[in-house]
Amino acid sequence: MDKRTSAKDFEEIYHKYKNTLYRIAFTYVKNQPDAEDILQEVFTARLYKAPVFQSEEHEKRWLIRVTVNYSKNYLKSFWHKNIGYMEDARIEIPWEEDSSKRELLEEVLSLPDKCKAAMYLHYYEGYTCKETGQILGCTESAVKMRLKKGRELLKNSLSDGGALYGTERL
Amino acid sequence: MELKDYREVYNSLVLSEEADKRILDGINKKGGRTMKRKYYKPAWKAGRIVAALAAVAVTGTAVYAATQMWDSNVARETGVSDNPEIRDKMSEKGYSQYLGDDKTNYSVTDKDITVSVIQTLADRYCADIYFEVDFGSKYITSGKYLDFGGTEVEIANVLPEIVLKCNGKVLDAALLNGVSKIINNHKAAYRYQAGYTDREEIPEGAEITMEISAFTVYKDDKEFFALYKASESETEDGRMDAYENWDRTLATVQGNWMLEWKLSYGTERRIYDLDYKTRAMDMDFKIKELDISPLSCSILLEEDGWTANERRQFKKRHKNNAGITFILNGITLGHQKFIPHDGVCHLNVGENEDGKLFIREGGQFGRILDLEKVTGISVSNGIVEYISFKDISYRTVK
Repeated sequence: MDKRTSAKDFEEIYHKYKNTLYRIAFTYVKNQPDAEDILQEVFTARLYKAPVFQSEEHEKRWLIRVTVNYSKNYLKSFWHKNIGYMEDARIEIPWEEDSSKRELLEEVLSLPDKCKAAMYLHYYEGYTCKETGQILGCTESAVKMRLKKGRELLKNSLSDGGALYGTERL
Repeated sequence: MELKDYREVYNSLVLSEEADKRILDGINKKGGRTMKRKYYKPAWKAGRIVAALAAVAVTGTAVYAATQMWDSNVARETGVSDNPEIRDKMSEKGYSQYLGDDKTNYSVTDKDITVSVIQTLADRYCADIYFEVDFGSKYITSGKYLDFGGTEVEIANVLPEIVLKCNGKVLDAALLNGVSKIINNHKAAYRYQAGYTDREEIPEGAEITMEISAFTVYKDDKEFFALYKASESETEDGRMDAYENWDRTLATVQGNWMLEWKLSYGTERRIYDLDYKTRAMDMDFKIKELDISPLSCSILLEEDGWTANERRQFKKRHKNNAGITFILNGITLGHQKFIPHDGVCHLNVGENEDGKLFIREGGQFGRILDLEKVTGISVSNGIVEYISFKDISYRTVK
């Protein structure tokens, strides 16, 4: 273990960011076990590679970036490629009593990866388009395009067909 | 969709305390090397496959000079190198089929790449197919793979585009470990485990068809997070079609390698009739039976004293494809444990003749199980319970 990160500090870091990173990983891999595997790899990297961060925000962005990379790599991995016939498998979503939320989650997770990640960082984590672009390694305008496309796709797929605009709407 | 709805959707995605423990334990135990998970995704629909975790090292290929022929790599991988009695028994009872000597019928060459089926191990529900590929002068890469025990093994970074069929019906199949094994600089070995995730029986006299349409060469993935640029890797005759990919693909070679053979499989299984109360997924169950062969197993769970509301809830879970998990943790042989999720797994829900809901779950082993040494099973849904077979008899079915 790196001298700069004690076990106690590490657990604090883990609990601080775990759900954010879990949601990002889940957004890509769409199932709990693989998302947990990715988190394990990300936090292992955080602990043993012990990068030096300028600030907490720097650390958070690094963790998000690594989670995105690992998730993408997972989708290209030997393991994933050899699971086979995944087109038949449904998205595995945690048990949720409220079926309407479940449907929403399914719709959100069905969006293209590029849109989902941008939307999550912007609408949930509250990053600006510029910051989202920095994290995802794309331009601010690309982020805006992805948000627009994601909103349109969600609008079309949701049964209520509600308008997606305004400050309190996506 | 309102912004608060979108946020609420993500609010439901949180890690449980058990998940925290699994992740933190995994990080701490391995000292910087990640551990694969010890629990498994449910095999909900036909086609769902779980690949294996255990890995073994490979050296040369030789054949035991015994009455019943075995490939030495298969023997080593399945844990019976030092157990000729088990090997002979597996052959005598029809579980093992050695094809490695007949290159005329079980070997095919295209684009200077030769595919040879060496050996199969099969029971009524699943098959383990071992084949070797000689790439000749073609370029292949090797890499390191961290196995479940944390040991590095050398693998060939070449994977086939493969379809396995049984009497024309596509089998669910998984490459054991998700990786191939390097034999030498131009030869690699592959072990696919195949069956049906709805636990369909393999019919008698089944014809297995193995069709490979391409081999893809990958670059090793050692870097922390890498976006590789592919390099040119065209062979002299130019047949290897190299192209650039943002990921790890170096090259592919298209072709047609098809082999067919009649599968031999062992039919003998043991059934342990049980009546063990357990609690899983916040519901009461009875474990009614264990059905086991040296290659695979299955347990049957039945609802126990459910109310109508509980039955409705369970059906809803099933319909929503969520919240139903594997509970069979392993087959115990004294202190040794066999994980039944190395190959194709099944987790099926149904209603029996009495109208009771049941779950049947199980899967393939990565190694050959000596049935004489089985002492019990362990099940887990948060708490691990051990069910001893000390006073439980079994019946043999064929």
